Amino acid sequence: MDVEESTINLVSAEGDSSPVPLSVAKMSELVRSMMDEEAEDDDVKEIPLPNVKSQVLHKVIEFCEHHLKEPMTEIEKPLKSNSMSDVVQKFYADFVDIEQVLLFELILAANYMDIKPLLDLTCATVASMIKGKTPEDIRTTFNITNDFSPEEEAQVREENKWCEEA
Amino acid sequence: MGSNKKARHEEPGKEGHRLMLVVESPAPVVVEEDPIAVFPLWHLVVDFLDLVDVLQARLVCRRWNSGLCQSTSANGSSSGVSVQQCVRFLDAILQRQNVVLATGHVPTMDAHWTLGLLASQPDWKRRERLASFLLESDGSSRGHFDKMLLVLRVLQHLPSQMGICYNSKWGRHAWAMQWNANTHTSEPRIYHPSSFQVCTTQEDATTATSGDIPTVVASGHANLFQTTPARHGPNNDYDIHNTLQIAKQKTENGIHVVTEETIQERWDLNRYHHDPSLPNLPSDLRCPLCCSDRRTLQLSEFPYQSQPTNGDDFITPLGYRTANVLTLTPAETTNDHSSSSPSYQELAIPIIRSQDNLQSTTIPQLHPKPHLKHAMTLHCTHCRQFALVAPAGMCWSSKFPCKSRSKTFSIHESTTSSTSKTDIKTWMGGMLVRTRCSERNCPRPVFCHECSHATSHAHYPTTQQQQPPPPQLQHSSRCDHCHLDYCPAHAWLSTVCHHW
Repeated sequence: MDVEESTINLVSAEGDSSPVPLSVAKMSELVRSMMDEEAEDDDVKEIPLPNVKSQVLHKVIEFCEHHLKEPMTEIEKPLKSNSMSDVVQKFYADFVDIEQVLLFELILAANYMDIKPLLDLTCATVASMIKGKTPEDIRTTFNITNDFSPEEEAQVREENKWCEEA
Repeated sequence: MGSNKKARHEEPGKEGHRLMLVVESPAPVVVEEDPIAVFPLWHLVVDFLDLVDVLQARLVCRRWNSGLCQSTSANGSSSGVSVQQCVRFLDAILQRQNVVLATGHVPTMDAHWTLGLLASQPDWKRRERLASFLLESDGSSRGHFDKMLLVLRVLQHLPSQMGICYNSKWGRHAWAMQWNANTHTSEPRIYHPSSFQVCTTQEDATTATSGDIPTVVASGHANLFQTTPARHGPNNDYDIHNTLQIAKQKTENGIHVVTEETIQERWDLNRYHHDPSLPNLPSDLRCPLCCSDRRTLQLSEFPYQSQPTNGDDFITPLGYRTANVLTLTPAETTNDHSSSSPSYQELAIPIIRSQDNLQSTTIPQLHPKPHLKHAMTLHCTHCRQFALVAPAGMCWSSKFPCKSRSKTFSIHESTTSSTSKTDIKTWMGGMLVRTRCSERNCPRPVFCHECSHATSHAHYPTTQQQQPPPPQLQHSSRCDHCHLDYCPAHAWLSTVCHHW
């Protein structure tokens, strides 16, 4: 009979607690280091994550749980395609097919919790939404308003031209 | 770190250990605004992008621009494009263009040039030097991204070809040249004098010139030459800052400048076709390091020993000093504009004394010694801490005797203290063309001129009789995309010399 794995509670910004197996939680270097600091204490710890919303935390846990079963293939830098399905397995491509705000919050959470595969996946996804697009296309994609003055935009375009011709 | 102690929380019904301890978490990245607009982790995204995509992203909005270009964030950590990413971008471009960034002591005479970034060096060492350069403090608030942009701007003005000219007044000097190839053609095209039209009046030229074909005025004979578009197109700042306009400018110190009002003969060298409206260094081009408000960047030819004796970190100019470009801003050269000696004289080497009898013995050998190699450089004569060095091959030299191709053109020389003008004939004795193929000693292009895809070096086997292939096939570049092999006779369209 298998011994049930210990769990740890990850507590979101809203105070919601999510119990996760240690192996999953330790995919976060933050959690791992915090637990190491308290290694002498056998008690299970509760890890407060005050900057991670519950919705984001659930996505993080979902990613970590699946990653233990099917590790994500390493993403090539720079991206060779702007379709994530060409870059990673289907689960991960579907995983980041989410609202943009949630995607950016996932990046912040992955960075905060120091989960490199998730950070790579989410950052690569944002990159794939930029890759090969014009500024206008990118604005449309991210619903951003161009607030450059004509002079400012001309200056940036001029600087860009130095690089583009190189 | 704030106090993040949380109330104890137990999950009833769960097996395993119960929570007994809570720990503090580190300070989070606090983003109170829209995380898309105010994204603090651009450097993580940039890892997956090419430079061109980063540049496009800069144009999205102010916040993206400032976020991407930010060297350090408010808390002191890097948030925008990182130094390592700038190094990656810059290194790739320099390698693709076969250009070395020289840093450290860059003298103009016979001391060592500390290159340290030679292509043969390991990547890490090359990139380490680049990072050091980008991080070097220059007393300004410019970050590494801005410095990278400035380097690329200077690189933009390193010509593909450079004519080495001689005249009695100015001695040996270098003159940036530009191919005038039609980039719209799908077939390699060899230009012939008959391929352009000589017009004698402005009206003729206007009539003859179609929409995108610029005309070049050769005022001396009141001829208007209809030319094909330059590779960079007609609407770049070369048009504004061409050699002639810069040459006409009076300097603050009133010292010698060369004014050119006439180009009596275009450099129409059999199949070759050069635009006499030559590109040159814009007046606002600055050294990325010292950013002196004077024009201190100098375009030079640079012979050096092919077998460095001091390791890869050094190459030594040999034989003669670096020769200045005709329109180098002479601000640093002399303030004595009444002197009869040209201010460039000391930088010049063997001079053709006779304007009328061009004897082969009077032409300085461009390959005076076989162990010398050549490069063209753009370096700062002020801080002497920055140079771009591009290996180049010599054309029309003693190795490729093309005396008949040494053409003359006249320039008018004047001083600000005198309105008198004197014709000075200048001979173009040779041409330096940058070598680009990564294959050692191969002067072939690295990008297909047809489709811009990267080309590969092609080795052709020896014949069945164990004879080497014909010279035109000994080296060639091949584009796997358009399945095109460039024989030397065609490769020149990519601005690479094909003389054998």
